[in-house]
Amino acid sequence: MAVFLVDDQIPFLRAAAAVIGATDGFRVVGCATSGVHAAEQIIERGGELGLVLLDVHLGDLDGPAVRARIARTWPGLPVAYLSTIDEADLPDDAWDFPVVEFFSKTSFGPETLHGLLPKLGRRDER
Amino acid sequence: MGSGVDAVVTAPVPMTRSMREQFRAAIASEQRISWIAVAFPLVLWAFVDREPLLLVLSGVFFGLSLVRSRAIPAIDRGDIERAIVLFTASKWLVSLVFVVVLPITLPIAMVNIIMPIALVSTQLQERRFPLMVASAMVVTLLAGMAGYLQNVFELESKVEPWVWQWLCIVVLVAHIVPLSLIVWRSNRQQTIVLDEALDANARLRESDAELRRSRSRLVSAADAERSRIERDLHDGAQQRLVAVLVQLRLAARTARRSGDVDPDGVDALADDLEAGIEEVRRLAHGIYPPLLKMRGLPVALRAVARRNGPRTVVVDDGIGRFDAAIEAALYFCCLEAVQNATKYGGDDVEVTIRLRSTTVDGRQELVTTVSDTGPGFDPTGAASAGRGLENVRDRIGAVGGEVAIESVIGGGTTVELTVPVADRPAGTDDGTTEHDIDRGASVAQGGR
Repeated sequence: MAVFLVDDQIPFLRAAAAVIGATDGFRVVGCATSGVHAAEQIIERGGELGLVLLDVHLGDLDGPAVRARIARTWPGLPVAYLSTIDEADLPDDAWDFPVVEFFSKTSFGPETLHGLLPKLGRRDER
Repeated sequence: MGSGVDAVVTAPVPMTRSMREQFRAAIASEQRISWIAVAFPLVLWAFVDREPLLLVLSGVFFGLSLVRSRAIPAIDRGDIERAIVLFTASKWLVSLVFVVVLPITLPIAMVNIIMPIALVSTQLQERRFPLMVASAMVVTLLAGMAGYLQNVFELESKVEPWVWQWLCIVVLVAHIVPLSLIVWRSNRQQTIVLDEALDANARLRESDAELRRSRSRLVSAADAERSRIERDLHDGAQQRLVAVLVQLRLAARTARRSGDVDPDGVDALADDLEAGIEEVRRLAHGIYPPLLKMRGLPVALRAVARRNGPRTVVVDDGIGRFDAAIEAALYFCCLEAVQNATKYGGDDVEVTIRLRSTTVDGRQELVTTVSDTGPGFDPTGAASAGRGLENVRDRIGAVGGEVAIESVIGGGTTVELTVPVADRPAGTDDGTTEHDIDRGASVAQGGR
């Protein structure tokens, strides 16, 4: 599955990429460290993506806003939040558009990715 | 209006040292003039008529002068009311006696009756002033009636009428100078005192405003520092530790598959690291909630409501964004009120946070109320201590706002925070996403 990774923290971006690379059936096809850049990239390449892993706190455009932009062009593209904050502390508009899962970064690993597969449906072929 | 304010309004103008000197000088001047009243009957007795009554009169005036002279030590002791009574009574009695003996001196008596009022009225308690005016009216009435006695002692007929007339005219004219000086000095003194009070008030206002600005700057600086520390913790240490944790778990997984390393030891290490990360995360969130900085007050308070449970509701009137200091002050005060509600009301307590913007006298205000259905408390009692209300007042006061607390035992508590704000919200360009635009009024409930 083609995964696009969005996080403004380079150390975690590397770690997450390593996890995805070590997980069978998943591969990183792109990444971005800012919300604006991520939205542009994803809108452009949405057709080839199977999953977007999106950080909530980004330097410019935050995660929910990126999610909203993506949804205008690719409403069916699965997006999962990945954050160090509690789910309760997400802004309430974070759920205005479908999000397949919320992950705490501390629990992120190959098992969490595998756990996503049932929710991703037919797009797991991408 | 409260009794405390009444006391301020009705108090006499405080007698300054210069006013006391002025009062003392006026009495001393009057004292010198009074010796004329003592000498005048003696002169008449010596050159006009050997009437024994004139000697009695001189003796009476002498006695009254002595009484009046006691007013000066009373002033020196600070016993102003006693000085006023001594001065006024002696002056009025001299005037009355003069009118009885020489009715032609009635105009002089009128001036002498009014003069103490002009001189000392500002030093009287409000409740004493009507008494003094009534007394002056009675003395005037008596003087007028005495004037109708028309020369009962026949002293006037023993001297040429023109002598009396000119004597009265000269004395009256002579009274103009001290009377004018008394009124002028009194008014000038009051003007000076008033100007000084106004200047002091202006300085106090400026000092108060500077104090408020200083307090606001201190709180803003502290908030900015808290925000910076939170950002440093979140973006720096926490992210690096999370990255290490993820890599460590990945390494443990790989080790478990290869069998090269004891994966349990690595897992234990990862668990310890995760616990440390959690502590850092909670610490950073408590220092300054990132959601407040990113998305503003309503969004951050909704997160508070969600954490607090389904009985906590945020009603937002679409207030938008405001200055960071104001948002931080209101956020932490609302948090305090919500925590108090849960602490004293238990899990079943219902909490409603209302956010609205209003305009009062052309000034925009942000009004935030936190109402709960908890047990309530006596806001004036000792139980109010320890509820963090002083912190709330300090926080809101630092941004120029006011706090109103209503609480009834058994009837819940409402904390209202009113803060003056700029004409427009701080804008949607400071972290508010396009997703927030056009959200308008909203109601959000905790416990998703």
